[in-house]
Amino acid sequence: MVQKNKMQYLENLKSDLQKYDKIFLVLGEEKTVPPFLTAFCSVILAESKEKVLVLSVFHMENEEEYLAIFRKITGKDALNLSRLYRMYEFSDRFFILSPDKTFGGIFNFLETGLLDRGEVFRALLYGKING
Amino acid sequence: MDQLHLQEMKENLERLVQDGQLQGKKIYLFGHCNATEELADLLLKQNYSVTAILDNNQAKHGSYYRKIIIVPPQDILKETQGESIVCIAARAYAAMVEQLNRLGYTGIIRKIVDYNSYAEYSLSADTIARKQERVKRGMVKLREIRKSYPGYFKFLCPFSALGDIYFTMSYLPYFIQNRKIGRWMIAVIGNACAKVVKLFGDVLVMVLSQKDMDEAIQAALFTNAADVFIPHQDRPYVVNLSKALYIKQISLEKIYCCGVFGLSESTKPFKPVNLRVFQGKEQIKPGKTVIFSPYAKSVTALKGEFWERVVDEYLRHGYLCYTNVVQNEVPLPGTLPICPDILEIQSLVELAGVFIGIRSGLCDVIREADCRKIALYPDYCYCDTKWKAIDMYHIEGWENIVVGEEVSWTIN
Repeated sequence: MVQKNKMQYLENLKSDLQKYDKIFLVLGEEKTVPPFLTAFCSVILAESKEKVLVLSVFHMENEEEYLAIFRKITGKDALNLSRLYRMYEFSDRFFILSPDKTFGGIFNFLETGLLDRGEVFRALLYGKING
Repeated sequence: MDQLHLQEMKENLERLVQDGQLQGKKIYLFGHCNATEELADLLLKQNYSVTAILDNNQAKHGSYYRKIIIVPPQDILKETQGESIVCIAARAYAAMVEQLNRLGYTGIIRKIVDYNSYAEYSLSADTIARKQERVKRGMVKLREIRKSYPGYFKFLCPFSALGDIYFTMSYLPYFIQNRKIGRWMIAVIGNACAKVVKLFGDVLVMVLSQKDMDEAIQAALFTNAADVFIPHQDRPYVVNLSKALYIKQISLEKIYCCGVFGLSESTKPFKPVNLRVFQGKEQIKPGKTVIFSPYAKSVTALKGEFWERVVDEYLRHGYLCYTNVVQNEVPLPGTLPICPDILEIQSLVELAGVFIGIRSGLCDVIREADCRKIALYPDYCYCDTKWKAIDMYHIEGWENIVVGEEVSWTIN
């Protein structure tokens, strides 16, 4: 039973990868993530033609409006997903959104003024480099 | 592409041929890149015909490489699936396989070169167990590096490309200052990359194999290592900077400056300081020598006829012509081979007077040289973007020329 619960996040992930075109796990600090989630989900709802799922441990404003694309998950599941993502590339449709000190990232373009917030959201949603 | 991967490609292709897997099949390649062109060349040389190159970039559809048309991936579905094979020599192998599967393709797919040890698009227990072992090996490697450089901050460069290392070193001092990093070292793949590091001063540099580097990086990611930074624009998979190119054209140098290192756009790059005088002056006619550089790792190749035309023009005008070669590379017809040390190559081209090269990392290495410098760009789009190679790689102060189907060449 313990093992089953432990692996439930994996079963959910497999099923979500079947159902959705892209999955974003949003991590970070509580003071910054909820407003980010609200803004990001608004853009997805307004513009994206793909089926997108956003996962986070945080609540966001007017959460019920975003039920189609947003799911709150437990801290433990977020940790498991994060560890799996950092173990290997299991899909090019699963992404973790959080600034990371170990490598550069698209949020640096926001901070250095090369892209605005809307452009960063759209790049994250639609950008795909398949060399 | 580099010699190791080329060798791997030849061996894997030979295996496919021996096993009869190509026999009677319509052959498709996926992803128009330098490696795919090499693969097409190898197939054509063995008298196989390639039906098409699949590619996601709309801007490439309808164009040709050696009479092989580039088409959208869904075109594969027009084939009777048991009668076709898709050969992939691209880093995005796992993503391409998934895309073909999602499209409904059930035919044969073969990996010809293993460019990407990070990816395996499976969540099976078996895969996860293998990847856990890989992380463990990476931890051992990381521990070894820490033991060799105790207390040092570590920069792990994931890819063996001179240009990437050059940009890294150009902006790294600012990053080190901003992060208040004390002692540091840098690990790279291959001696050539280590030489590029050395161009920027007396730096502690360690050379790793691609496998050890991949595993050490994976371990650093997995453990959230606070003493490691991975300075690259699109490797490994967690780095999402390339996605910005969907929205905006940002040169590779700016991706490094602003995206990798988080520096303002106006930051001035550091320049090489550790240059040596070329030890072979007697081979050069000062000011009347051309150094050609026709080989690149990621940019697609220019036609042999084009190079022959340019070489002929310079020979006709009394120039001495050399081709910069490494390992098994062959000099252009009519030229002599030359293989200068990276620390001496700026001195060589300044003595020669003219450098003409396909846009490769070597152009970055000599970007500050005081001579006539010409960078040539195939007319193609960068990865999946709508931006041309020249948009991404343009070098200030150089003659940047796009080479189309018909190019005449005159010496000004």
